[in-house]
Order: sequence, then structure tokens, then C-alpha cells
Amino acid sequence: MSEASPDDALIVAEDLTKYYGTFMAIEEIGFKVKRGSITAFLGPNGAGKSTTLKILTGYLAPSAGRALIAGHDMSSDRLAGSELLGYLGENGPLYPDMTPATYLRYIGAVRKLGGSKLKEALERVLHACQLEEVWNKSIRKISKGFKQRVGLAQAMLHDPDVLVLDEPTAGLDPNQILVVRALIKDFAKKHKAVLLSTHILQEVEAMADHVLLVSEGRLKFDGTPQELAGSAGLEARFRELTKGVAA
Amino acid sequence: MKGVNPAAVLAIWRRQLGSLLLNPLGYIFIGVFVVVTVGILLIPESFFYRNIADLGPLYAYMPWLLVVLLPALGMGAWASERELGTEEQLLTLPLTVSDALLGKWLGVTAYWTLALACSLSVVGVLAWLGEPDYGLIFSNYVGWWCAGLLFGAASVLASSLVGLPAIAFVLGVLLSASLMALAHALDWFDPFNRGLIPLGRLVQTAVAIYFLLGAAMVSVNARRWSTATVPFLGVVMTLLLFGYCAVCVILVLRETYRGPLLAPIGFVLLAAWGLAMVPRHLLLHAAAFVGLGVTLVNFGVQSDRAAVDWDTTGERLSSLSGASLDVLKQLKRPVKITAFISKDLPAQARAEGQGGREHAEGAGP
Repeated sequence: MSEASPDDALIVAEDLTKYYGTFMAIEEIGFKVKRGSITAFLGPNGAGKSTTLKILTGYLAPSAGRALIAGHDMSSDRLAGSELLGYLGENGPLYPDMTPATYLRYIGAVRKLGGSKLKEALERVLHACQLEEVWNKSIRKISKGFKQRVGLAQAMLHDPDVLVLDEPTAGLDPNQILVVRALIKDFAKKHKAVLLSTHILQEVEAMADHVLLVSEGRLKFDGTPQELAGSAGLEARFRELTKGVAA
Repeated sequence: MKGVNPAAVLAIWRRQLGSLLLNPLGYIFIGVFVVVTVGILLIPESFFYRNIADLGPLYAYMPWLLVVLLPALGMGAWASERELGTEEQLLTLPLTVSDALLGKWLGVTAYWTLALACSLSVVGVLAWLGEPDYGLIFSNYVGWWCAGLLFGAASVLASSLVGLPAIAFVLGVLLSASLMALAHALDWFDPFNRGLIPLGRLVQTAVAIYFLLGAAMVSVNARRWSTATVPFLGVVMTLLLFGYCAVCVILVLRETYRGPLLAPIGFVLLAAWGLAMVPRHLLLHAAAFVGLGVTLVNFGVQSDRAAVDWDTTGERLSSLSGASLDVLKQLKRPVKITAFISKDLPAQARAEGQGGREHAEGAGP
């Protein structure tokens, strides 16, 4: 089932609600991410960010509402949507027994990239993510920063229209954070959509042109970082909207 | 219904086989398997006293060996994805859960086939000691290979149910042992041990694998589709349904199937299971899956009853000639078979002969 997305929105969340048993993880979360936008999905830990992202990628089914990636409903038409989607999960999980080269070839094979297309894609992410140094090293032995970049390379391998990243800079040192930020910005410049979750306010200022603030499973703010900051500043507004929920 | 994505299945297959081949434990597995196989075969009491160059001593032990070995191969198939946190990443790729499970099972299957091929060294020992019937050995191997494919599927199911490979191993052994107990009760390996390759049993294996992998698919999807209360309900419903299927299978194979009684119960159970487990937009897929399963079961039962068997023994030991069949068809009375057992045989072989006599008497005309 594919339908035209209004306003050229590549990611659409329509009243997403998810219950785990009687526990409500998120309730009626709705937003859009347009082409060329880097949207930060901001909120304290446990606010429902990861649950929302998992529904958007089609990994989880919502209890109510719809998630659309490039017009494809991720509950009933996940395969078509996932062709256009790159996803980096929380902590960038990888297979420790593989090398970046074998891992990315494996992802390429699943994505039906072969021959010259695969070679081209591998070369593109190899340079973009600066993986030359660790290309044939065991993933078990490479640093957290490199692991995160391998995860990003995986998400960008097929040059998708949409990138969904769950805490892409968590656990990285300041230099590694700069590299990853530059990568994400370059990606969005190609008229693509990026949605990244974070609980770090500096991340929003450094990268995002749009902010969604979620707390206790509900969307509390949807606008630009400047609108969110207002005159009080990002930090004060964040505290106010999350009512002191631990960040 | 979405078809299989061969590119994805192939990629997952290569990844699964690669992870087994890259793991040093894999080679220990093959080494232990070959050593244990040769060791059991050449136990003096069972092999040399019989004075027959066949794999007889392995008949009783090999399937039980597989009950332990296959779960060791399959335990990480899905559980390691959950342990590493890669399951979510995997299922955001353009492949279905069934593509992934099929690829993983094929990876386990390929490794098992390799291990079994390595154990062919025992055939070299037999050839050196005597003149074995290679057709009989072939049918033995087909039987064990099928059992390995089945236990591999049971292990993948176990691996999909729990998040830790070690627990998946224990569960895989329990599942495989239950299947083995069923096979033992039904004398499932008997035709293979007599040099026959029965089509019915091959189809039964395929059906069982189909349902085991289907159950694994439901178990993975139940965690994604449902809220926390439903997987519990789902597990209860699935266990009920499997219990029902097991009862039906036993009754069908024992030819005491009570269709009018069991069919409505099955229908109610199946409908309840579908409503509890499957989102509405996937109910059609679920119906197609069950429909294909029922068709396969029917094909299995029919081919078993029609006794479509291929006798692989060198001298067609398990078949009657056309002339004998013609004679038998004309007989109106029960047939009396007289067998003579040499007193010169070792005690164990004589005991086996006695067993054969009881078997013949039990079989009737």
C-alpha cells in the first residue's frame, strides 16, 4: 500500500500509540519529517523515543496509529518502506566475528546490491565513514567510535532516502562526535530526511533544523530549535517541558 | 502473500554457515561427531560379534546423538541475534522473518551435511573390513540426514523462543528428544535401517520442518506484533495447537484417526490461535500457511499409506519380486513363514533372530 505523502514528508507518524500490556509507552504521537531536514527527537531517557523509532522502522507494530516511510505503511508494507530506509539502532549493534568489509558485503547482499553497484556503494561508505584503517579488522577489536561509523555505513550503504538513527553519538569522544555529525549533515544535504533520537541538548543545537520533544510518552513540542529555546534557552525549556523527568 | 526473497535467504545462509565455519568450536563439533560415530560402530560386542559389515550398531545410538548435536549447531541461530541486539537491525532490512529463519536453518543444515559427510570415513572402515551393501548404507545416511534436518529446525525454533543460546540449547535438546521419542514410538527409522527410502517419511520430515520453522516465525513475530499480554496468550495457544497436532499425527499414523471428533476441535483451536497471534492484515497469510501445511500433511499421509518406497539394498532384500507378488495375490489363506537360525551365531545375533521371529509373527498374514 503506497500513497503520496503530503508536503513531501518522507517520515510520517500518525497518532502512534503503543501499549506493552497495560503500560503505555507512547500515546498519540504525530509528526512529519520533510526532505532535506534533520529532525531531532529529543527527550529524557524512557520517554518513548526508541519505541517510536522501532515503530517507524516497522520492527514493532503500533497498538494504534500509522507509521509511513516514503508513503509506505510500515505495518502492512514494511518491505517496500525498508528499501528506502537506513536505520542505526541504539548502541549500533554489530556482529563481533565479522570485519567491517564482510559485514557491509553481507548487508549489501541482503539489500540485493551486487557486482559493480555493491563495489561502488562499499567505496562510497568506506570513504564517507573513514573506515580505511579498520576495514579488514575484526569488529570485536575496533573502538566504539569506529563501530558507530560501521553502523552508519550500514545504514547509508544503499543510499536511502530516509535515515533513522537512535542515539548516534552516544558513548563517543568529542572528536568522534564531530565526525559522525559531519556525516549526518552531509547526508541530509542530498535532499534526504534524517530523524535522530537524542537526550543531549548540544546535539540539537549542532545539527537539527527541527525538534520534536517527547516526555512520558507524549509529544510536548514540535518546531524549530529557535522556537523551542525562546528567550529562556534550550535547557530551561527542556526542564520545563519534561517537568524535571531525569535526563 | 509475499514470496521468498532468494537474495536475502542466500545472504543469511552464507552468514550463518560462515559463523559456524569461523568458530573453532565448529571443528571440535565435527571431530567429536566423527570420533563418537566410529567409536560406537566399532564397539566389539555389537560390531565384531555380529560379523556383518554394516552400520547396525549405529542404528540405536545415532539418532540420539543427533538430539544433542543439532541443538549445539542451531542454538545461536536466532538467540545470538537477540543477545547481540542485532535482531532489530536485521528486521529493518528488506527481508521477512521467514526469509531470515529459512536462511539460518539452511546454514545449520549445510553445516550438518558437512559433518555427516565427514563421518563417511566409517564407510571406509567397513569397506576395509568386509563387503558392505552400499545401498543399505545410503538409506541409513538418508534417514539420519533427514533426522538432522528435523532436529535442526527444532533447534532454530528453540533459538527463536529464548534470548540466550545456552538456554536455546537445552530447549532444543528437549524439543528434539520429544520428536525422537515420537519417532522411536512409531519405528520411524525402521525402513531406513532395512535399506528403504520411503517417500512418506521424507514428506513427513518436510511437513514437520515446515511447521517447526512456521512456529519459529510466529514466535519471532509475536514479540513484534503484540503488546506484552498477548505473547503469553500466544504461547499458551501455540502449545495447545501443537499438542493437538501431535495427538492428530499419532492417531493418523496409528490409523485410528477420529476425524468427526477431532476436526471441530482443531478448527476452533486454529481460529482462536489465529485471532490471538496474527494481526488482521496478516490473517490471509496465516490461512495460506496453514492451508499449505494441511495439504502437505495429507500428501505425507497418502504417500505413507501407498507405501511408495525405494529399495536401495544391493540384492533388493526388502522387496518382493514381481513373480512372488503374483503368487501372494492368489493366496487365499494366511502365509506361514519358517525361518532357521544357525546355532553357530554369537548369542547376541541369535537374540536378534528371535526378535525377527516375533516381528514376523506380529505382522500377521
